[in-house]
Order: sequence, then structure tokens, then C-alpha cells
Amino acid sequence: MERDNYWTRRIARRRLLTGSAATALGAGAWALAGCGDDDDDDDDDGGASTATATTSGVQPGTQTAPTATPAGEVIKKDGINKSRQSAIFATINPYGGLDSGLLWGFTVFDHLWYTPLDTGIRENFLATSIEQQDATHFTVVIGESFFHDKAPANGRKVTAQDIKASFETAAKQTKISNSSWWTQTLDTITTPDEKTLNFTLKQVDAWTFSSTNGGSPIGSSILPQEIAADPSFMDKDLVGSGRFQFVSHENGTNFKLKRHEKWRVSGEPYLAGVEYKLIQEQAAALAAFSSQEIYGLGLSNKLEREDILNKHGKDVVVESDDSRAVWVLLPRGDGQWADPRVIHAISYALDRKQMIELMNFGEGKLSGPVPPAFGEALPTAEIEQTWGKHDEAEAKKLLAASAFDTSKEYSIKYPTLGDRYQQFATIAKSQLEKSLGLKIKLVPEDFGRWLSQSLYGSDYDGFLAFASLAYDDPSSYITPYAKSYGGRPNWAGYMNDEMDAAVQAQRKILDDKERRAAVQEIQRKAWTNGAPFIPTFIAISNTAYWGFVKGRVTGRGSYGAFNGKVYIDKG
Amino acid sequence: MRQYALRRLAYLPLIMLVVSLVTFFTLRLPWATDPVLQYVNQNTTVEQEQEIRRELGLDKPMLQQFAIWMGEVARGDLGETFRSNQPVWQEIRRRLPVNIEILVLSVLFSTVFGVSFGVITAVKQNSVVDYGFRVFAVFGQSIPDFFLLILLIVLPSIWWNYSPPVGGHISFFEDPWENLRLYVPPTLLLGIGGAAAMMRLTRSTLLEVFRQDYMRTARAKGLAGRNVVLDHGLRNSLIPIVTLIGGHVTALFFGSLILEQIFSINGLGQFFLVSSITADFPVIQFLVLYTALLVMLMNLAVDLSYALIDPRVKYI
Repeated sequence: MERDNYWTRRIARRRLLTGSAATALGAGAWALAGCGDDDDDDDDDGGASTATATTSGVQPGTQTAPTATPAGEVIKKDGINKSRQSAIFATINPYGGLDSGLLWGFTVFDHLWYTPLDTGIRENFLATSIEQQDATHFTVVIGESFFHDKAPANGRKVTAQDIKASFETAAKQTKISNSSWWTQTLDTITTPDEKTLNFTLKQVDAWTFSSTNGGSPIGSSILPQEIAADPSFMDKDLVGSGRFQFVSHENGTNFKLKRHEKWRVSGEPYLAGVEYKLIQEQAAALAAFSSQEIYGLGLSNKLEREDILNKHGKDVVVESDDSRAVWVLLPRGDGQWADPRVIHAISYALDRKQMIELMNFGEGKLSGPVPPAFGEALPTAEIEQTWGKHDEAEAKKLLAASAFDTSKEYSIKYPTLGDRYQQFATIAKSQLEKSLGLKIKLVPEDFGRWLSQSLYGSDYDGFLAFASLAYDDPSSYITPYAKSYGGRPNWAGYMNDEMDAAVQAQRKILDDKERRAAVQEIQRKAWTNGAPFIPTFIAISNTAYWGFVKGRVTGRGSYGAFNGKVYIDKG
Repeated sequence: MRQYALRRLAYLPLIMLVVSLVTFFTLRLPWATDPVLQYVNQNTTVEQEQEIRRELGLDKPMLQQFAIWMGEVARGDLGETFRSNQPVWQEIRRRLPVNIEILVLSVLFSTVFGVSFGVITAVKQNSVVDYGFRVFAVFGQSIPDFFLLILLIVLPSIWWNYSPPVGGHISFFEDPWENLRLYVPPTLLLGIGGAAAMMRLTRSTLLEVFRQDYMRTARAKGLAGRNVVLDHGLRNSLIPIVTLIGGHVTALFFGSLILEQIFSINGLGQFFLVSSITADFPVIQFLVLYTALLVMLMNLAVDLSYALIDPRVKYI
């Protein structure tokens, strides 16, 4: 059984989400990751993209369409999508757990905007326009929308006051793991009328609209004021204004949702409802998928994919997507480790292709600090010459040229969250020993201790091995190069003024293109300066769907979760 | 017997106090898991972390925390879980029907099969039937439950694309057919597996009883074989069997974790496990007290049952 904590819940959530064909959740949606709401695309309803071009990641919204409907195919605006729930929710309250926060953020609650990871350009949802007066002020005008027809909102209109109350309540929450944007960037919100919100920020933050910050699927969920005043109401029931209305649950499992008949996008969602079924074991999930008890399923590896395809042939579609969780080796960044040659030697010593082969049956990609799914990722050719290069001879030469003490034994600490962590640490150990002649011992640690003492407390004398969180927001991947993170000193003890200044500076670049270039430049500098956050690879994930689940969106991260055009064409 | 029972019950509060003290302070040892860590990520600031600690009531001195908890327990308030903010008792009560059904069916199947097979093998000692059941018992005890349960899901899927109704409790009173479809196959399988130990115990005890003089006397009196075996033999073999059943019942009260996990049933086993892993102190504290209480009461019940089964057993 999986440990239920922040890091493992993301895995469980990924399974949950990838299994959710109903909402066409794309690849693993993410911790503080992306959200927003259903496409504000199509139709000329209130949520359509009529945004005014501004700076700070604010540009006219792009239109997104789901998988094209083949000519002659009739769209059926109906069907119940049956999805897998892979872990029991401790609470249905979205402020009580990341799992519930994300799921309801994608379904039950509406949002003002959303920034998809592939374009990096904000799209308006309930917001019909966002005008940015200056770097710390912007005004949002909302369209027409209604809450679900349940107490206490009883189907009334969504007002600016509801949104203000929701944001203010979200900022006070501690358990939902909001980013520091909510406490350190957001200052005040005023509502001159029922349609307008004036946001004031304490400081410039170019990532304000990202899904990790002001566009968080959890924090930016729009609640009725009555519930925002007493969020404990959501321990028992949920009332939002999203595409689906919450119907029922059984002790945090087996959720039932039904279509919101007054959803702001007219004619959507196509589905009449979604039903989630708790299936924890993968073997049981495969059986349930085969017997069509569920319609979508995240597959563990390519063997499962081949098995499914052999068994069901063309009746099943398997879609692949790049994971945004990067397997990382984090050496120390201080003392003898601060010499860039040491970090380069370690990086060259790692044979990432072998890692991909051993851990993922060859299905993975080299990754730089920002994973390949993002526009901010370094080009593959560049990664192959830097972070992705394997050259034992060069590694040995560089280490020998440095003053690195090879007589000492170093540790690789990893959290005991599952076999894959141990596998990654073991492979890294073996490669470093073979290529550099280092003496390394593996130190498995209880997750709590690993997180609090080893990672946050910088208590390690060699390396930490782990998979990064799979954000929808590229800025999260470069923040570990700063001198401090979340109010704590750099985990690796890496104190490089140039890198720190670059990380801080990109937060203030409001032009999207410039900022994207700056993020890429930071990754290049990280290599040149020998920053101790060594990315290795990302896995490629596979999700199987029955062919009768139509209108899916893939490859757009959690954006796919907001697709209202999924329908069931069965029978 | 009443005095004996009262004497045993009188120890309860003292034992519970000791257990609660040990549990409470062990959970808060410096090297134990800090529950606050379940709610933070790399973006969480130190201030937010402190706020979470305050919300969970862990910012107060340890003795004060203990006094608060004991005060609540004395008032019948078991506190709220860290994870769901719901009353602990409410969370348990919601899951109890699941475990009661698993308990009843598992104990029923294992007892019926175990005792029946045990009697048959004892009566037919060294026959083909005896060897057959003994081989079955070895298999039953050596194949892990999780493997049997996985097979129960995987094989029908491979053969017939059939999936048992995993994924949640269906009340017997709401839908008897679905309820039985969910619970009977796994509990039957577990029952047969669990019956192995009971069969071996029943067989060996019965064989020993069969060699007693009173058994020979009963046969000499001309009693029918069935009466000799069941009325005289089995009754005198019941004490170890009841002891074993008592152990089964106690264990199942905490949930059948493996069955719950594989069949995705949201029962007490999973609740207690996840709570333990995530350092949900109020639940763990309750769990330990509940365990101590249940074990003591079950042992008492088993001890008292000896007197009912065997009139020679007297409690003073």
C-alpha cells in the first residue's frame, strides 16, 4: 500500500487523473499544478477568451479543441464516464488534501483563468478580461455563471464577492500546500461591483497567473461566499459552479458527479456525469478495465500496454505522454562540491540511457532541469551535450583535476516511498562507483525524516535521490538554484550569487518570450556553474482508454482535465 | 465466575492508563514521524509549518497535550482525525459495518470448514481422505492470502473478462445480491485458507480425545459413531478451537487489511494503516486503546467460555 503523504499522493493522484477518461485528464496533473477550468474556448459564452493583451503572462487566450471528431461522426452529448479512483481520500474537503483539492478543482469548481503548460499563455475562463494596469495591479471582469442548485448557494449567480472571499479563504489555508504566492505575493482584492475584481500584489511576480500560483486548481477554486466563510462545510458537501455537480461519496471514495445544467459554456459538458470507483491495486484495475467497469486506466509500463493491446486490439486506444517528474540526483553544492568540474564529472558519469532501460523498459527521455514537456525546456541537442551527456573518460578526468576527496565514503539518501526510488538510487550508486571509483553507501530513509532532515535540513554528505514534483509550471523547476526556497536555505547548500540573481530576476520579467528565454538561460548557467541539481530523465506514461470514450485531450498536462467535450459513444 | 470476571475487569482502567501513557509519549519521541510533514511541501514556509503545528494542537507542551487528550477521552470525546478533521469515532463507525461483515463471514467459513474437515480427517485417520485434506491444509497455510485474492481477480478477468465488484462497501440491506457478490468470494477464499490451521488443530485434538477412556466407554455403551464423535469427542476438543477462534475474531476486528486493499474496500484496516503511516495521532492513540481493550475483553470472553464448554473448569 502506498504511503499517504504529499509525495505519494501525487502518484496516487496521477493514477487517479490519468484514469479519468471522463474528464480527459491528460498526463499526470500536478501537485500545485495547473488548473483553471473547462475550455473557455469554443462558443461565444461568457467564458470565451476576450482577454486584452497585457504583460506578465497575460496574452489573449488561445483556443483549444479536443481530439478532432472524425467526419460524419455524431457527437453524443451524454454518457456516464467511469473512472478509477486509486486512493481513498482522507476528506472531500478540497482544503484538506491535495487529492480532493485537485479533483474538485478540475470538476466541481470554476476558476478565473488557467495557464496550460504547453503554450504557457494564460487562458481566461470565468474571467472575460484581465487588464493589467502595472506590474502589481490588475483588474478582472467576470462573465455570467451560476452555482450548483444546492444549499447554501441554491443556483444563484457567481459574483465578484464570491471570488474575493474564495481567494482570501484559500490564502488562509495551510494544509493545501499552496505556493507562497498566496501569502507573499497576493496583497488585496477589492470588488467595486459584482463583475469586477481589482487585484493588488505585494511584489512583482511574473508567474502570478501560473497554475502553481494564482491559477492553482485548488487555491483559485471559486466557492460561494457562505462556504468560504466556513470551509468546514466542505467536509460534508461541495457546492461550486464548475462543469459537474457533486452528488455523493462513500467515506471519501466512489464519487458521483452529474452535469451542471447551467454551466457557463452552453451545451457542455457533454457527459451526463462521472463516476469514480475505488480500485487500489493495479491488477484489479486492469481486470476492471477489461470488463469495462472503468473506461480509462494509467498503465504502469510498456508490458501492460502490450498486454492490453494484445487482448483488446483496436477497441482500446493507448495514449502516451511525457511525465513532468524528473528523476534527480542532488549532490552537495558547497565545499569541494562547489567546483563545477565535480558536478560535471558526476553528471557525465551517469548513464541515463541505461537508467531509462532499467527503470522504464526504454521508455523515457533525457531531461534538463525543466522537463521536455515545457516550452521552456532546453532543446534536446543541447541536453545531449550537457545534462544528458555520458562520458566516463571525461568524468574521470574532470574529477581528477578537481580536489575532490575520493577516499571518503559518501551516501545516497533516498525516501522509502516505493521500489522505484530504491531502484534509481541503486543504479546511480552503481554508475558512480563504476565511472568515478567513488565509495557510496545507500541510505534508505523514512519519508518524513528524509524530507524534514535530509532535504529541507540539508543533512546529507553526498547525494539525495528522488523524483521531482511534476509541476505544470516551469518556474518550479529552477527555483532550487536560488539561495533560499520556501524560507529555507538552499537544500544542497549551494550559494551562488549569479544563479540566485538570475532566478530572482526572471520572476520580474513580464514579457512571456523574454521570460521563457531567461528560464532557458538559467538552465544553461546551471550547467556552466555546476549547480548541484542533476536531472536525469523523465518517464513516458501510457494511458489506455476504451475507444468509445471520445473527445479526449492529451499532451496538455492537467489542462486536459478541463475538457467538457468528452462523451461516451457506447452502444 | 462473576467475581472472577469482575476482578479481571477491575484491571482494565489501570492497564488502559499505562497503555495510553506509553502510546502518547512514544508517538512524540524526537525520532518519531512528525505529522506536520504530511501537510507541507517544498513551497511551505517555516511560518506556515508552525501554523499547521498549531492547528493540529502540537505546539503545546507535551504534558499539556496529554492532559487535554485524557480530559477528552474521559468525556467520551476521542478527538478529530488530523487528516479529515472528522470525529475519530464517526470515522470508525462509518467503516465498522464493512469489518463486521468480513469478520462474520470469514470466521463462519473458516470455522465451518476447519472444524468439519478436522473432524472428517480425525475420523478417517490415515485414509486417502485424511491425506487429501492434510495436503490441502499445507497448501492453505503456505499460500499467502494476497496471492489467493489477486488470483481471484486476475483469473476470471483472463478467462471471462469478468471483474468482481471491487471498490466499496455495498450494504446487504440495500442490495443483498451485490453485497454477497462482493464479500462472499474473498471471504470464502480466506475462510478456506484460514480453515487449514483450524483443521489441523481440530484433527490433532480430536485424535488425542479419541484415545481417552471415556471415548472407549461411550462406544462400548453402544452410542452411535456420530454421537460419540460430536457429543463426546468434539465437545472435549473445543477449548483450543475456541481459543483459536477468539484470536481470529480479535485480529479481524482491526480489519482484514489485505482483503480491503486488494478489493478496495474502505474498511478499518486501511483506515488504521494509513492513519499509522501518516502519524494521525488521535487515530493511533484510539487504535492502541481499542486494541488493548478488545484483546482484554476477548481473552476474558474466551476464558469464560471454557467454563461453559467444560464443566470441570471452575473460576473462583
